[in-house]
Amino acid sequence: MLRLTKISDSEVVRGLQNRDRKIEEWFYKSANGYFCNHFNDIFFDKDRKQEIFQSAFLKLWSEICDGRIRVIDGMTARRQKDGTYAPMTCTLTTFLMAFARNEFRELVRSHRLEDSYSDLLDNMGTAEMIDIPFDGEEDVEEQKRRIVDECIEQLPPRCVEVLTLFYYQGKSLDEILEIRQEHNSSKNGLKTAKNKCMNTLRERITIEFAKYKLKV
Amino acid sequence: MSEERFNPMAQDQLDRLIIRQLGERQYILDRMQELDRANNATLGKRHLFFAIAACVLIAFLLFPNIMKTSSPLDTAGINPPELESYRNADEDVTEIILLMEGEEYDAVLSKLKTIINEYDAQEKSIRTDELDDEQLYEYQYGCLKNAELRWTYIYLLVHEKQYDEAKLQIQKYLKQKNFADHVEEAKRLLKEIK
Repeated sequence: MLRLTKISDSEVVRGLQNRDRKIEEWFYKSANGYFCNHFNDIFFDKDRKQEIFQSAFLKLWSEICDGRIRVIDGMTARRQKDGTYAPMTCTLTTFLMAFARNEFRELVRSHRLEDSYSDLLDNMGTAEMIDIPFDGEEDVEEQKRRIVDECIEQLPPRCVEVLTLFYYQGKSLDEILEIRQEHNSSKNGLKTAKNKCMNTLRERITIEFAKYKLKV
Repeated sequence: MSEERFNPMAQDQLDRLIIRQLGERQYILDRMQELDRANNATLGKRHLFFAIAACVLIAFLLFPNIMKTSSPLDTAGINPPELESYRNADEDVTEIILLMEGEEYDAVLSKLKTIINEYDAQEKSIRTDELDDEQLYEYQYGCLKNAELRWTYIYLLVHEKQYDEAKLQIQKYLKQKNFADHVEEAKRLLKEIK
């Protein structure tokens, strides 16, 4: 059972934003317990249980860390489409289950497509652009971070992985091929994919920044 | 920017922003993996605990005597006495049987002690050579019943770990050997509780 009486949602939000490891651990355990208890009532694909949880939890945690969910006047609030923040009417775990439902739908849809690099790059062209209106109350730096986050989320997972390995972890192309165990893929193929992923991401961010008159 | 490996010196403002957010995301993923491992380890330990508990429970169900201290009654292979053949013959015996069925051992012991003491007192005053056939039959029947009651008394004394009194009663029982049906068992029991 999830015991939010012990640590409130507001404390969880603050804790995750401040990288409080104890709160991270508590929330992960609680959310995982809650998810496992309710999983069978909602989904029918037991094999993907953990996969769905991980994706949904990552989304929730990311939203908290990039400020889409935050604490305002001691209450948890979430950013609306019009850019303002409205108090959350449900708990974080209810939110998690909603994300999980979406993840499940996505999984069902995406598993029909086998994702090779060419598919991945083709799919990128059709991805919907996000629409985030400017929120006057939001800090500019925070807004930039959120836009970048949302643009990253729009990328296919393999793209994000390659970019993370190359740019954040500083891995070479050979190391990335080794890590991803893509012995049949060529280094040139990976390089092209990596460049295209990065260029697409940069383009999207630039467009989004321009919409809200934000400077890089 | 190197073609093989990213050169951080070559990054612009947007790169920096992207890399920071990729890092944020990676931190969450790494942390989730770590927490997942910890969670699984806890679950594993919990499952192991429940598996052991289940095994212990099954063992107790299958072998209910597993934790009971071995009684001399078990080691001597003594079966619980049956007074069924006297059930309707005597009110006292009927009462004793009912008390035993209700596991009211203290009450049974007290009742048996009274009956046996009364019998022992009576028995001393009887001269069998003065009895006619019918009186002799009555006397012998009484001896048989009393021996069986004493055996029951002994059984319960040992059951309740009152070994001193049990030893005394076994010795008396063995003296009633013409009427005692459990002589060999009594000897084995005496050996066990000595």
